[in-house]
Formats: sequence, C-alpha cells, structure tokens
Amino acid sequence: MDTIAAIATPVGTGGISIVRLSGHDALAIAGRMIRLRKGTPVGKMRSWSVALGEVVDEDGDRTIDECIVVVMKGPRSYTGEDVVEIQCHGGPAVAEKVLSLAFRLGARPAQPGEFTRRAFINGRISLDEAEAVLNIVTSSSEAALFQASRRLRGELGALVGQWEDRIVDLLAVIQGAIDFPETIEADRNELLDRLEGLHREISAVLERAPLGLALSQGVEACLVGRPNVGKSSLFNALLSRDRAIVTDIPGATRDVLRETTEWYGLPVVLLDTAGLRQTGEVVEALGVERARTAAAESNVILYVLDDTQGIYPEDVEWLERWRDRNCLAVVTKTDLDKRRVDLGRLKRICGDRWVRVSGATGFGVEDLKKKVQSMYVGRGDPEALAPGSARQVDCLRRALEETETAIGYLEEGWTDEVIALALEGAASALMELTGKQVSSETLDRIFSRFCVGK
Amino acid sequence: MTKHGFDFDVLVVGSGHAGCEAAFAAARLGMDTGMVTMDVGNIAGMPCNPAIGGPGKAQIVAEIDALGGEMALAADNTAVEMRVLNASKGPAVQSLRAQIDKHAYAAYMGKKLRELGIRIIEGMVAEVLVDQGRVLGVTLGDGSRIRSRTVVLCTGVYLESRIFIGDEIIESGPMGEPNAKGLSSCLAQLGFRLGRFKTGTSPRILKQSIDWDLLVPEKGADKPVAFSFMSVPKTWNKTVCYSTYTDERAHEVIRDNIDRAPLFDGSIRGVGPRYCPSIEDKVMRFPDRKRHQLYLEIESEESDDVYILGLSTSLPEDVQYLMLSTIPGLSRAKITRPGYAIEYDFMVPSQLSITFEVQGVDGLFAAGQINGTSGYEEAAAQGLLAGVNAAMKLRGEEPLVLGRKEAYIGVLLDDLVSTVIEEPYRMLTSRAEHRLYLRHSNADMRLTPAGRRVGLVSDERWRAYCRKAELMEKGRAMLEAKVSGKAIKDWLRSPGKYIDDFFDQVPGLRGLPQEVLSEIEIEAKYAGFIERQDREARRLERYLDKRLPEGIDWRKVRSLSRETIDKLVRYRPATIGKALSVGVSPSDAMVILAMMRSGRLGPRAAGGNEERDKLAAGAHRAEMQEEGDRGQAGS
Ligand SMILES: Nc1nc2c(ncn2[C@@H]2O[C@H](COP(=O)(O)OP(=O)(O)OP(=O)(O)O)[C@@H](O)[C@H]2O)c(=O)[nH]1
Ligand SMILES: [Mg+2]
Repeated sequence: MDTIAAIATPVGTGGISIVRLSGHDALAIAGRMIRLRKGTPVGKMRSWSVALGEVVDEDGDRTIDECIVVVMKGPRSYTGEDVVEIQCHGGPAVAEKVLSLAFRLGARPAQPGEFTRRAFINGRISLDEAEAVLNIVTSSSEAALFQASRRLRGELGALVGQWEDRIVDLLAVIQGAIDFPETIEADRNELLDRLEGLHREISAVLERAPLGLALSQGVEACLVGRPNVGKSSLFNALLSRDRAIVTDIPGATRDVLRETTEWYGLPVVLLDTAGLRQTGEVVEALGVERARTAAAESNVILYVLDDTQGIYPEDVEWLERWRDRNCLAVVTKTDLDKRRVDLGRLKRICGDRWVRVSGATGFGVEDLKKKVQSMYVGRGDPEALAPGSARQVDCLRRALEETETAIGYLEEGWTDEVIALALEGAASALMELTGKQVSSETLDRIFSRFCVGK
Repeated sequence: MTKHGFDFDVLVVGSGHAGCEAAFAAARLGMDTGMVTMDVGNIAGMPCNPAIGGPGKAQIVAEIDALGGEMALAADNTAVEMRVLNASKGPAVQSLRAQIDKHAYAAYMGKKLRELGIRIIEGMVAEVLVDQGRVLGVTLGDGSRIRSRTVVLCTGVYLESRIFIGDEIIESGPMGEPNAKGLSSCLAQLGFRLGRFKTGTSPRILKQSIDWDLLVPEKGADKPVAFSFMSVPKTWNKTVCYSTYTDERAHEVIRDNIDRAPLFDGSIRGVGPRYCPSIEDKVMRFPDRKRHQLYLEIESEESDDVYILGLSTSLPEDVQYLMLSTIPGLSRAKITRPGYAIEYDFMVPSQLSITFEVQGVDGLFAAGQINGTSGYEEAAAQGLLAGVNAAMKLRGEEPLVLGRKEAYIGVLLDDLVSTVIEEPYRMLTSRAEHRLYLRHSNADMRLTPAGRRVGLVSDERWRAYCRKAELMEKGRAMLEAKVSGKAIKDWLRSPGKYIDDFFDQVPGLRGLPQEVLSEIEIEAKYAGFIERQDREARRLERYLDKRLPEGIDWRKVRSLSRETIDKLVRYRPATIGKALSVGVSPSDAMVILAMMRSGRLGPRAAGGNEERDKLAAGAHRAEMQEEGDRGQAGS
C-alpha cells in the first residue's frame, strides 16, 4: 500500500513529537530524510531497532532537527507494513517541518484512524481490538483511556471468548446428543444451572454498558430551557471561558453550539441551544426546532430554570415529558437571591434531580458536574470491565436475551432441538464479536469432547 | 448405437448408491442410459454397516423418496428392523434407522436396473474422453470406447484406493475388489484438483461363532414406521441387533499393539472422518473411557457375516483376534473378513457446479464419494440430482437445484460446492440451519412438486401428494377455530397441548388421517420456532449471507491479503459466510463488507440501508469506518 505519514503525538503537548510513516516506501522515504550517526543507511537498520540521527532537508545541506529513529518492518509492526517512527525534539513546529518533508518525498497525509485501519486490514488486530484502539485515540480522559486500554489488552474479548466457549460446550452436548443419540446424552438440570450462571455474568457486564459507552465515547449533555433563562451564561461557566454570546435580549442563541470538556473523568460534549418558545421569526424558529432535536438525541438534558422568574407551565410540561430521560433541573441566577422557583414543587416533579447554580458567580457549577458524572460513573466501579461500543453492547444484549429464551424453553419443557435454537442464537451473537461461525465451532467441539461414531 | 453416433445419452460410471440413483433418474426421464461397473455382481453394495438412515440421513432418504428416487422404497422392502432414534426429542430430529438385508437390497436395486432397461457393461473406466471441453464418453481398461453425450462419475472410494490391514498394504477397492487405476491421473490431467481421504471398517465375524446369549438385544420401533411416503408403515418387533462393549482388556491389547496400526505409524496420508473413528483412535484419544459400545448387525439372511458396529480398525488380523477374545460374547468369534482402513482419491468438490456437473468439462457430472462425501444416503442423493440434471441438460430444461432452506440435500449441495471439505462429509442435523422445518414427515410436501416438475414423480405418487395436501389445507382451516377465545393452532404452541385435546370441539379433526393430523399439529406447535429460525437466518443474511458481488477480479482489489485473494479466486465463495468458511480472515471479511457498503465493490449490496438506519438509531453509534474517521490522524 502507498505510504502514509502523520504526527502521532497529540498536538501541542510534550517536548518530543513523533512522526510516523507506514507503507511500502516508508524505509526509502525515511532513508532520504535521515542521516544516521553511524553513517549507515536507515534501510539497513534491523527491525525493531533504534538509532540516533538527524533529519536533513532534500538537498542534504540543512539539518532540521536531531532525532531518534525506530524501524519496525512488516509484517511484525503495528500496521503490518514497514513502519518508521521519527522522534523529534523540537516540539510541534519542528514536527510539522519533518512531516512536510516526508510529504515532499512521496508520503501522503494519513486519514484519521488510518494507521489503525491498516493494522486491521492487514490482519494485525481484530475488529474488537481496532475498536478499542480507536477509542483510546478519541478518548479524552484518563478513566476512558483505562477502559479502552483494558479492552485493548483483550480482557473483554477474553471474557466474551470464555462465554462463547461455554455456550458452544452446551451446544455440543445438546446438538451432539441429537446427531449421535447412541453415545451422547444431555442432562437438562445441569444445562439449566450452567445457563443461569452465564445469564448472571452477562447481565453484570451489560449493566455497566452505559458507563463503558460514556467513558469511551463521551456523553452529550444539552442545555435547554425557555429564552433568556441563562443557558448561554451557564454554558460559558461550565466551560470556564467565554464561548457563547450572552445578552439580555431573549432569543440570542440560534444555532446549537457544541464544545468538548471533561467532568471528573467523564468526557462530555456540552450543547447550548436556542430558548424554547413559539416564535414567528424564521431563523429563531429553526433554532428552536434544532434545540428540540438536540435535546431528544442527547444523553443528558440540563433543563434550565430562572430563579428570578419561577416555574412556568411550559417548564412543567417539558420536565414531565423528559421524566424518563437523564434529565436534571438546573435553577440558575441564584446569585440574585429571588427564590421564585418553588423547590418543594420542583422536588415533586424531578425528585432529587435538581441543582441550584449561578452562571454569573459559578456557584453550584462543580455540583452540577458531579451530579452528571455520578449518573454514569457513580453507579459502578469505573475501572470494572464494560463494553465500549454500540456494536459490543448490541451483541451482548442479544446473547443475554437468547440465554434467557433458552432458560424459558427449558423450564417450559421444550425438547432439545428447540433449546439448541436459542443457544445457537446466543453463540452467534457472541461470535459476531470474534467472527467465528457457530455450526463449524459446534461440530469441532462435539468431535473433540465426545467419542462418537460407529 | 443411438442418435448422432452416441451409444448413450447418459453413461453412469459405478454401480453403488450414487450410480444406481443416477441411472434410475436418467432412465425414468427417458434417457438412453448405460452403466459401467467393475463388477456386475456388486450393485448397491454396503461395504460399511448394513444400515440406512439416522439423524440427518433419514431426512435425506425421505427427500430422495419425495423427489421420485428409489432408496427409501428399497430400504422399506429389504429392512430387517427399523428403529426411531431421538424418539424422546422433537419431531424434526426424530430419525428412522433401518437395518438392511444387504443381499436383498442389492437384488432389489439390480432388478430395478433391469426393469428400467439400463444397459450394464462390465469394465474399468481408465479415461474420460474429452474434446474441446466437452465430454464424449469413456475409454475402458481394455481400450474399448463407449460414447455418451453425458457421463456421470460415481466411482465411490475406488480411485487409486489402497487397503491397510496392519502393515499389509493392498492396492484394491473395498472388500477385496479391484481398484480403479488411471482415472485419477486422467482427471488430474484434465485440470481437476484431487484430495485424499481415508475411512475404515470393522471386522466381519461368523454368525455361528458368537455367544448370542451374552449379548444385550436392542428393541425395534414399536410404532409403525417407513421411509417412503408410498410404503405402508410397519411395526418391528423382531430383534436383529445386539449390543456388547469393549473394556479395559481390549483397550490394553490396542495400546500394546498401537505401533502396528498404520493410522499411527504414518503410512496413511489420507484424512479420516472424525465422526467415524477407528477403535484404536477412540482408545488413544479418550483414555478415560472405560468402555466403548458395540452393536452386532446380521448382514443378510443369505450370509453368515455379522457386522460389528463400533470396531472399525486397521490393526493386523492377529491383533483383531486378540481384541475380540476379550469382548463379552465374542471371545470365540471367527473373523470372515478383517477390518481395514481404506485410502482413496476424491475430486475437491468446490469444482462442482450446483447441478453436479464439474466445471470445465461440459457434460461431465460427478456424484457420491468421489466428491468427498461419506454415507450411502449422501451418495444416493447426489446421484439422483446428477442423473436428473444430466437429463435436464440434454433436454434443454431448467436443472433441479435445491436450496438450504428446502432440503437437507440442498444443505449437502451448498456445503459441497462452497466450503472447504476437510474430512469425508457426512450429513448431520447440526449442519442444517433450518432443521426444525426440514423434517422427514414433511419431505413429501416440500419436494414432491419439484420431483413432479422434472418428471420423476409417478401419477400415483402425485395423486397421493395432492390428496394429502388438500387434507392438510382442510386441517389447517379447522385449527383456526377458536376455543375459549384462542385459535386451536395457538393453543398448540404450548408444550402440553395436543391435537386430540380438541377432537370434541372440532369433530371434523377426527376424520383426518393420522399423518395429516400429526403434521398440522407439528406445524402449529413449531410455527413460532420456525419463524425464529427464519428470522435468525435472515439476520445472518445481512452479514454472513450477504452476497459478494459477482464477476469481480479479486486480484485487482487492493487492501486484501494475498491469502484472502487466493481463497476468493479459488473457491469463489458466494457470500461473506462462505468466504469465512473457506478461511478468509474475519478482518478481511469485514474489509470486504465495508468496501461493498461504500460502493467500492460492484453494485451496492441490498440491505445496506437497513443497516445504516439501525446505526443511526442510537446516539452512540460507532461502526469501524465512521469511528476511524473521527479518530486522530496519528493513531
Ligand atoms: N445575575 C445573573 N444574571 C444572569 C445569570 N445567568 C444569565 N444572566 C443574565 O441573563 C440574561 C440572559 O442570559 P443568557 O445566558 O444569554 O440566556 P439564554 O438562556 O442563553 O438566552 P437565549 O439564548 O436567548 O435563550 C443575560 O443578561 C445574562 O447576563 C446568572 O446566573 N446571574
Ligand atoms: Mg443563549
């Protein structure tokens, strides 16, 4: 494949930057860029070796930076192709220069995630691992990094593999007893026991799905409320910077604003929206429509109430509509001490899901962040194993349902081939994570476990 | 000499189970049919155990019957006992197994060949005559030629076969018959890939040398049963099968002599079936098993040979004697023919087209063990389809092709042409994803119309089918009747409810014949599960069954590994699932899917939108591709 190059270290951090090259000409291009101290060419370096050198420009007369070169030859490299990593000392500006030199010598800029995609295409990593790596890349907080790296080390994969193994074992007994009735017999009580055990374990991991998803992909939190209640001020306070325009004219915010941030380890995408109201003004009406959509699609709704105005009938309507969502009532402008929002009434509508803040003074803002964080992290051990992508959650959920179905069939007294149907469903749901096929796995298992045949 | 200088329309090579069904089918469809066999005295022989049926196989026999083949009728006519396996399990997996009088069976099939006017020629085929990619006939060992418009190869395990009994290696076919020489190299020269398999069989012992009173009698079926829809079901209570077992003493004999087993000393190269291990295999691989069950089956009224099911072996004859001397009831047994292992060539079946015509030679068909399968039933089914399709080809009509959802035979066909066969292929219910629907009891409803379409189904069978179909319709309508506010068919979905529970409410039911009643009951009872099975199959269709675009030159597709491209070019998998099963790595399969989805591989695959909708449905949707695009460039 053609050679791609990119700066592998996050922009603007640290003293060293790494420029990574991968592809057919990676060694050749690096060879033309770098003069090694030893005087030997880069192409002669052994795989997985490190050497000191300097990056020189095309004409070979100007040194750009001193560098450390790491060579990893395919297929034993991250991408499965020849990979060269150039560690420069001079920070991002120098790294940019090194990178543009690589481009001039024939590399092309890597697409986002392309190194990982190549690793996947070249069979170096499984789909599961690829997802985990991409989670690491996108994750912006420490807890998330930890989740993703655990998955990368294959822990979720190992667990799923173990469940899969146990289901295939059960299938081998049941299916084996159908195909080789003279030699294999299935014990239904034992089957029930084992299925119940599996069910418990899968549900325990699935319960952590919201956490896993939140940690690896972030949650969207959306500020909504009537016009002028103080959403944009709060948006700025939560981000600790002046991002949104704040005016005392109702209907100031039109489009949806989004910013990424982090609340106590939870990656958050915070949204500011137009105030909800009926309006004849076309642009504002479009904005209101967007606000409603944004709220509908977000994970957390922060419904803002103005303490100088109290609870309006439409506030009650919205709060009730979103009762079953992760919705937090946020009473702002409390610094003015008007106390128009009747807290007793608010508690009847939202239970304990409310908080008092001020966008002007920053009072209560940390409290709000903690409340949202605890909706996710608070419920469980943030470092426990959890699925980190929608695909993983979907597979696990199906596996759980099928296990439940199998237990139901057993209890109702259905015969073995019907139970096998549900077990196959469970196994195939899990195998979607690993790419195996149920029927051939089952046959292999029957033959390895049982002494069958005439 | 018939038309255009040809001796035959269809020439069948081989007189085993595939050969017989192929010849019957061709002859019944009006073809001038000939059969070449190395031994006219060996028609439809049973060199392994004298039995037909069992899980997966019984369903195939019923399907052969529904299509108008002969095996089921032959079995019903020559059985000495029948049993229902899996009687305690559901109707879809209950499987009839018959013990057959093998001499009577062979006589039955021989008579049918004569009745249908099939000309039998004794001789060994040394060469297939091919000119410009078209088959012209065959050359026999003596140099004579037989010209035929189509040729169906049903040569079983005879291609370059060798027999192993201990260190004795004999170049021969099963049961000491000569093997077929030359045909293998002819096929190789025509460009076909061959593989090598092995299988084995048990010693035959003399009936009079067995202490029968030390054995356990095995009971036959207590309800009336039959393979064919045209036979009158019979109850079997004659005991013809007995069981005994090997114990530690026999296992010790095996362990002591294992160095004399060709299976273990490396002289056998062929791959054997895992479902039919030799006794030495069982003992060595499962050292914890203290006993292995054996069944004794009398082969025929006309012979004194008894088959020992479960004692397949290639140990030397003296060790076989030592082993027998430790087995209860067999201590004085006299071996009439020692057990042996046999190794043979087969044609890699991915070279077949779905009509059983081999790709690359027009008019040449192959069926049975030559395609890497094992079992009389599997062979017969292929023979039937190959015979029909040879005829359909000559007639210029649509071939008979069955799908995985229609028949076990469809599963067999599909697995053969599109997966890698790594051991002799035997049918198992585990292979059929639609097994709740593919029952013995509804094979007639599933397949008689297809058999009628090609012309194999007689008027009598067709009338019986139509009558039953009509009664089934009536019965189904009666099950719509409501009892306590719920249709009977819905009541039947619960495990404890049966159709006779509703005779009083709907007296009309009582008038229906038993086979109709039980069939509509099964339909109602399992309807939910069958829908489920369909749903699951359709869901998989979106991934595993997603069809790969046709006519792609995979060698030109970038970003796939070399191995993957080789496999795609070689096996031409039709679907993603098949690609996986021929060894394409899951990650490459995902790449192919992604390319199809992005329209980079031929036409946009159907179902893609549905998938995208599903993805868009939630807030956190991250599929590989999209996820990657959001990632940082340096990852
Ligand atoms: N004293 C005080 N004033 C506030 C506070 N929050 C907002 N305000 C004032 O309230 C007015 C409206 O504030 P915004 O933040 O623009 O309100 P909004 O909800 O975004 O309004 P729209 O975008 O028009 O819907 C401005 O004049 C703010 O200065 C607060 O916490 N304390
Ligand atoms: Mg605003």
